[in-house]
Amino acid sequence: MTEDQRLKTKVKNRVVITGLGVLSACGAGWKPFWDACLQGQSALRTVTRFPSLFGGEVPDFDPKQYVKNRKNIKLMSRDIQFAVAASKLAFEDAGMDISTLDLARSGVVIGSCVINNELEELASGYQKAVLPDGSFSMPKFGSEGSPSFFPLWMLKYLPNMPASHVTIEFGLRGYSNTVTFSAASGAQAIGEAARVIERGDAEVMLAGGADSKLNPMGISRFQLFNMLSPSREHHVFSQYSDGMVVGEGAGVLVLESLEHAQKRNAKIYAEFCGLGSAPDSNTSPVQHHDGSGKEKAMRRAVQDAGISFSDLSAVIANGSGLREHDLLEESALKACLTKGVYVAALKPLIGHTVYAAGGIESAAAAAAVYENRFPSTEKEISAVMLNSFGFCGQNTTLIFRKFKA
Amino acid sequence: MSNLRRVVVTGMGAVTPLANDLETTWERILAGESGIDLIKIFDASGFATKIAGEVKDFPFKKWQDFDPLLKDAFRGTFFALQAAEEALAESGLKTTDYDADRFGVYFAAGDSGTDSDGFARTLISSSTSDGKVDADLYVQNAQKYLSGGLELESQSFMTVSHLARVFGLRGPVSNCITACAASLQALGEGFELIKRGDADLMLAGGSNSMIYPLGISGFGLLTALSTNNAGPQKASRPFDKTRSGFVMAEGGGVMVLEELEHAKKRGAKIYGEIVGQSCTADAYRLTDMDPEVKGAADAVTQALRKSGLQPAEIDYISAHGTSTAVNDASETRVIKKVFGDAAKKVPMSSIKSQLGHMITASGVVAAQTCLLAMRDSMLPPTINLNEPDPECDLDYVPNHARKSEVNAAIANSFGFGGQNVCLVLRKWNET
Repeated sequence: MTEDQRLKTKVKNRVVITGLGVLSACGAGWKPFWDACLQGQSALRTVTRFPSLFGGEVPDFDPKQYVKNRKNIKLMSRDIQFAVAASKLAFEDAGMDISTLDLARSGVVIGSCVINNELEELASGYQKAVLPDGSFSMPKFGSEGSPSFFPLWMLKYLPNMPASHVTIEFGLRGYSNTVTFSAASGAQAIGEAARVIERGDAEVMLAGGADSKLNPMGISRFQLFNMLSPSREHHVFSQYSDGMVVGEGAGVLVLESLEHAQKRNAKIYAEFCGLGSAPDSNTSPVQHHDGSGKEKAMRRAVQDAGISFSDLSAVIANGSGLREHDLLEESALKACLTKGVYVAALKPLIGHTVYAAGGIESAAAAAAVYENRFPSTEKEISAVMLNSFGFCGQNTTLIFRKFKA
Repeated sequence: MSNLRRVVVTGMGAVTPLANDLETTWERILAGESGIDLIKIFDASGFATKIAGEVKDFPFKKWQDFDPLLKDAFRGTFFALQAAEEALAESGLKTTDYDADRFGVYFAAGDSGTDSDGFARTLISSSTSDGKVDADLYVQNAQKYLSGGLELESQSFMTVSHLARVFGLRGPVSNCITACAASLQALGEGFELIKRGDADLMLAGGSNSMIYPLGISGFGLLTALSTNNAGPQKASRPFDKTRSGFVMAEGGGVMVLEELEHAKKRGAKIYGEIVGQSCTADAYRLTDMDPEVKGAADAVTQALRKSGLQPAEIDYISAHGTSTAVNDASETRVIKKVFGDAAKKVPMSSIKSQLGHMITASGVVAAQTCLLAMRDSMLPPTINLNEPDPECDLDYVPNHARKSEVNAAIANSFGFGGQNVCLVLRKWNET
């Protein structure tokens, strides 16, 4: 169908998932992560780049393995490198021959937000602004301090840069967006990318999230809210929950219109069929009292998918490790789910990867449907619901189901 | 049902460097006034760029007193709340008119502000004079010098949480940041959500404040900012031969988007209809616009095609028009590429000449002025356009507002990193 015909008839495209790209503490690729999910094997350990820290570090990551134009690497923070790397892994997994793509109909949505600075890049500039009496001089910072930064410094940290670099790396000139929705960013990005294909604005989309907060700025912010687990164990839905362990990584999926995927005989992992989002009224991560948006997000996603809760085989819960958040999610799940639905939470395996979490866990949802496997059950897996909730009332739920022609 | 849903604008509000409401902003834009002045938010005396478009006399206290949960919020969040309050008041919506579950928010909250002093203190106290940072010491000192509340509120996703909470909106929510294109994209996505049937009403727009030391430093280092500190009001001069960079500004803009039948049923005032949107990427280079302007031209072409309007039917273009050498020449090429012979006949002006560049909040205000141009049959001028650039040879409505009927208009936003958005708006009529 031509685009003009489609515009006239307003037929909604079906959206399928044909490639999974994951970088996590388990390594590169979705398989090591999915194996860890099935075996319940945690990949948390001491962070080599930050030895006092325990977390989910991506091991042995070398951006040169992934980025075509090496000159671009110095414009990329670790988050951006992850986004490009996971995108490449996803395209490879999809068997996508990029030279055959209609690049103007191919795009990207990445979940991100303002990226933490590498402090070494700023410190000498700030030190130049210190007066002999030890005080900080803003005029001196303006005249001597900040002019000594790497001139393109800011471009490494702007929220839209992961998506921009992905468009440049693969030449994607179609729809492009960056969703900044706290820890729901990656999931929301996938849901919105699916809508773009559904309405005919693109045929192929890369979508997911990328994040690295295993750095002083990231860790100090979590610590200001006492969100980190002192026991270094990421328990969820448990009386032992005492906070979260931070991870890093990226999860990017290839989404395609069914027509496009079938034309190139692509392997179809799952059909994307539902997105629901809703706000809670919480605006603090530690005084979390309202979970009504979580239930609304789930109900909206299930309704969007045209199914009912009894059709679900399994749920990947948000399971943040923060006790109040998890209790609210648990009661929302109890209000919605019918008996016999398996609920798993994957963050204890690789840590909370924040903007990337929804992307990485969506890869697990697609793999579960495709392989008919899910942690701790032998049951047929026909539809999986994924919850991804932000720290301050951002809630996104996605539904994936087995593809049937 | 969803095939037939049309989306109209029934409320608008803005906070800009010219005024803390949209109507006054509009009057002053038409009068050719500039909102640019020396930076007062922080001591910029040592910076190469000392000018910006700051919001002035803003009622921060009104909001802080209204809600203790806003105690640590930064400027951008307050601008969003104020603009939303105006837009909702203008819409005439009463809470009995709608189902809160069908009233969502799609926003483009960018940077809202940051704790510059706390960060400087933390970094300096945990690094040596040659710039080596002790990571553990930084984390430790952060607990002394930084506040959890401020760190949290500096995260741009917080603005949407506040908007939804303060105004009791429980429909679908999201926030996007595509640099300078973001709020136009948010309007486009809000439009799509209503069209699809996911919501009847959407609060959409954007807010931003990057007038802080690292924001001014970052864009300054990219040599994107004008350093015309001696003549702040002359500094933003889109399409003029002597233009020398954009002027950073801050503010917020909000629209109430409403499904047409919903608006008609309650007898709402209708500003106009959104009839098409398109987003594309340059996929070219991070810092340069593609000289062939493929991505930007595609965005305009596709948005027009989706709207069903021909280029000749467009009566006004609200330009991205940042006042940088490259953008203004490129945008001129985009319009020539898409409009062909008609390009010289379509008036196109840049309100950034008066407001400066409100970054993620710029697109929504551009779209608002398109609708006000329709209402008042007046085109806003591009001020400071005294010396025409041979590369910029279209009708930019130089220096004086112009009486002209507008039935259909487009707004363009081209963001850093190669993000292009075009939105098509039309006077509302029954057919």
